[in-house]
Amino acid sequence: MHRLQVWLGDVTGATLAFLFEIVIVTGLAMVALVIAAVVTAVN
Amino acid sequence: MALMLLLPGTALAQDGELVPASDLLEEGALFDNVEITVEGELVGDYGFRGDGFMWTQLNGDSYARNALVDGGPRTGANVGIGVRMPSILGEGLPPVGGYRLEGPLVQLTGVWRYHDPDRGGETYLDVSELFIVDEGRRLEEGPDWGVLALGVLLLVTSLVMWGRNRRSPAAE
Amino acid sequence: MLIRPDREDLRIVAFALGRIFTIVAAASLLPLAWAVLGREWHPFASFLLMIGVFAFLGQLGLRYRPSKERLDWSHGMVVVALTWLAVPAIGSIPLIFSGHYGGPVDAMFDAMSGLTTTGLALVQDLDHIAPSLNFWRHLLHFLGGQGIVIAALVLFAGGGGLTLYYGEARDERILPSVRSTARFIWTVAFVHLVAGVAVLGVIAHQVLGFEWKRSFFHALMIFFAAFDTGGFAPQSTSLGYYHSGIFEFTTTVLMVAGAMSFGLHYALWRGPRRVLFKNLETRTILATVTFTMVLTMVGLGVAGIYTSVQGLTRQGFFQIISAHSGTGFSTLPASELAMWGGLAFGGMTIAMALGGMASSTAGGIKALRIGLTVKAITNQTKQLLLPEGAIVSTRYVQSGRKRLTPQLAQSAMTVALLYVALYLLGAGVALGYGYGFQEALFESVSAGANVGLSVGVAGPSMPMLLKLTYMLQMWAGRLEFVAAFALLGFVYAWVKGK
Repeated sequence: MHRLQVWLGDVTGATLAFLFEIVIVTGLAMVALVIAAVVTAVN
Repeated sequence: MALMLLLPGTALAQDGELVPASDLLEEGALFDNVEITVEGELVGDYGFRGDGFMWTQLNGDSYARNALVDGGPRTGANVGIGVRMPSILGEGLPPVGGYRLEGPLVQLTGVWRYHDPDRGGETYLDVSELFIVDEGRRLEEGPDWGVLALGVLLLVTSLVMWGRNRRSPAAE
Repeated sequence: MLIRPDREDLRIVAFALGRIFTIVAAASLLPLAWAVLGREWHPFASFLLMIGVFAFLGQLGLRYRPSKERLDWSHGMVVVALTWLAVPAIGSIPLIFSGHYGGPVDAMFDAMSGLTTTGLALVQDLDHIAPSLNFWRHLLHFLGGQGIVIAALVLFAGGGGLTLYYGEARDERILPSVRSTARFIWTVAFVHLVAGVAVLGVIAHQVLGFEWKRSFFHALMIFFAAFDTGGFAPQSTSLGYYHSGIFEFTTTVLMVAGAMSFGLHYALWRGPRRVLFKNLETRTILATVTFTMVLTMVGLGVAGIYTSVQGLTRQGFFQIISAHSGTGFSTLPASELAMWGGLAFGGMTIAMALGGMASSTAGGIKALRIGLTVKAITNQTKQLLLPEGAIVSTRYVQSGRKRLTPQLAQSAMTVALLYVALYLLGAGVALGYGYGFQEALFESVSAGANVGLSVGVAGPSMPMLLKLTYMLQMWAGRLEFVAAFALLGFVYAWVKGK
C-alpha cells in the first residue's frame, strides 16, 4: 500500500513538473518572439 | 497570364507543364506564388481540418509506381512536398499510400507557397485542381520462410539453453 | 606494465552482456506483437530472427556466471561500449530484410543512429515502410535513450559525465540507491509518455484531422523521438509533415524535457524549484540557447529567409531547440537547411556542438562541461589579472555547493576538446570526398553530437568510408569517449598484456 502511495506521489509530482516544462518552453518561445520581432523591425 | 521568368533548365510553370517535386525542394523560392502542376503519389494521411482544408503529402519519386515490395529498385529517399486542398477535392479519394498500398497517382495544380508569411513560414502547394491519373492498389508481402525457420531454431535453442542454465550454472 | 584481463574479467563482461541481450530480446517482443496485430508477416519473420539471435547470445552469456558478481567501473564501461556495438548490429536484422536499405552497413547505420538517439537516416522509401518496422526504429531511440541515462547515472558518476568522476563522489546519485534512481528515470519517462502521447494524439485527431489510430501512431512515434532526443520521424518530411504550430510546440516541450538532466527533473518534482536557476548547468544552457537563437535568427533575418515575425519565430525557435537539444527534427527539407549560411549556419552548428544537459539523452559536449570550462578559464584569467596571493573563489552550485578542482576542470576540458576533435575528424573525411566546408562540418557535428539534422550529406549514396566515419562518431559521441577508450584499453591489454 505504501509503495502505491509513493508511486502516486511520484506521478503527481511528475505531472506538475510536465506542466512546469510547458511554462519553461513558453518562456523560451517568448524570448524567441522578442528576438524575431527585433530582427524583423531592424531589417 | 502570369509573367514568367524563363531560366535555362527550369521547367516552364504553366498549364500542361509538370514541375518535378524535386525541383520544388531544391529551388523552392523560384516558384513562390507561381501556379504549377505536380504529379506524384499521395502518401501518409488525409488530414481533414476544421478550416475546410485537407492536408496530405505528395511524393514525386520512383516509389510512386515502382514499389519496393513489388520488386522496384531502391532510388534513395522519398521526395515529398506538403499539399493543401479544399476538403471537397479531398473527399472520396482512394486510400492514401503507405505499407503495401500504392496511393493514388495524381496531378495537382495550384499555387506554390514558399515560406508563406500567413502560415508561419510554411512551404506547401495550395491546390485548386486535382486529377487522378491512377487509383493505386494494394500490394502483397509474404514472410520469408527461411528467415522464419532460422528464427524459430534459434529460439528453441535458447529455450533449451535457458533450461540448462537454470538447472546448473555452468562453470567454464 | 599492462595486466591482461583474466578469465574472470571476461566472464563478468559476458554475463552482463547476456543479461542485456535477454532484456533487449524481451523488448523486441513489442515490435513482434505489433507485426502480428498488423498482419505484417514479412517483418514478423525478421523480428523473430532478431529475437532468436538476442535470446541465443543472451543465454550464451548467462552461462558464464562469474564467481563474484562484482561489476566494477571498468567492466561497466566495456559492457556499455560493447552493447552500443552489438545491439545496433543485431538490431539491424529486421531492417536488412525489409528491403528498404542499400545493404547491411546502411541498415546498421540506421540502427546505430536509432540507439545512439542521433536520427540521421539511410532508409529508403520510408513512406511505404511497415508500421512495425517504423515502430522498431523509434523503439531503438527509447531503449538507447533510457539505457544511456541509466548507464550514465550508474557508471559515469552521478550525472555529470566524466567530469564528476575524478575525485568527486563517485557514487553521488540523485537518490540513495541505484534501483530507486533507475525507477525514478522510468517514472519520469512514463509520465511524459502518457501525457505527451495523449496531447499529441488529441492534437493530431482534432487539429490535424487524422483518424484516431493514425493519430496515436504518430503521437507515439514522435514522442519516442522527441523525449529521447532522437529525431527519427514516421514520414519522410520529418516534422514538416504536420504543418502545425501547435503540434510543433508540443513536440518542443518534449524535446526540452528530453534534454533536461534527470537531476533537473528531480528538482522540478520534489523542489525546491528555485534551485534550478542557481545551478551552473541551467544557467549555462539558458545562456547558450539564447546566444545561438540570436545568432540564428539574425542570420535568417539578414539573409531574408523569413520575412515575417511569425515565420521567423516559429521556424527559428523550432530548429534551434531541435539542434541544441540534440533531437534533430526538421520542419524543412535538407536541401533548404543547406541554404542557411553565415550566422544562421554558425548558430545552428554551435547549438548542435554544445548539446544538452549531462545525464540526459541529449548529446554534444554538454552544458555542465561548457559551464565548468568557462568557469575554469575565467578563474585562470582572474588569477592572472589579480595581484599575487589573491584568492579566486572556485565555488559553483550544481545540486549543492561544489568546488571546481583542477582535476575537474581538466577532465571537463579534455572531453570538450575530444568532441571538437571528433567533429573535425568527420568534417575532414567529408572534405576529402569533395563536400563543401559548411556541409562537411555541419553533418559531422550532427553525427558526433548525436543530433541528426542533415544538410543532405548523409544519404544512401554516401561513400562507404564516410558512412563508417559517421557511425564511429555516433558511437563515440554517445559514449562520451570514456567507454570507448575503456573498451579499446581492454582489448589492447588483452592482446598485449601479461
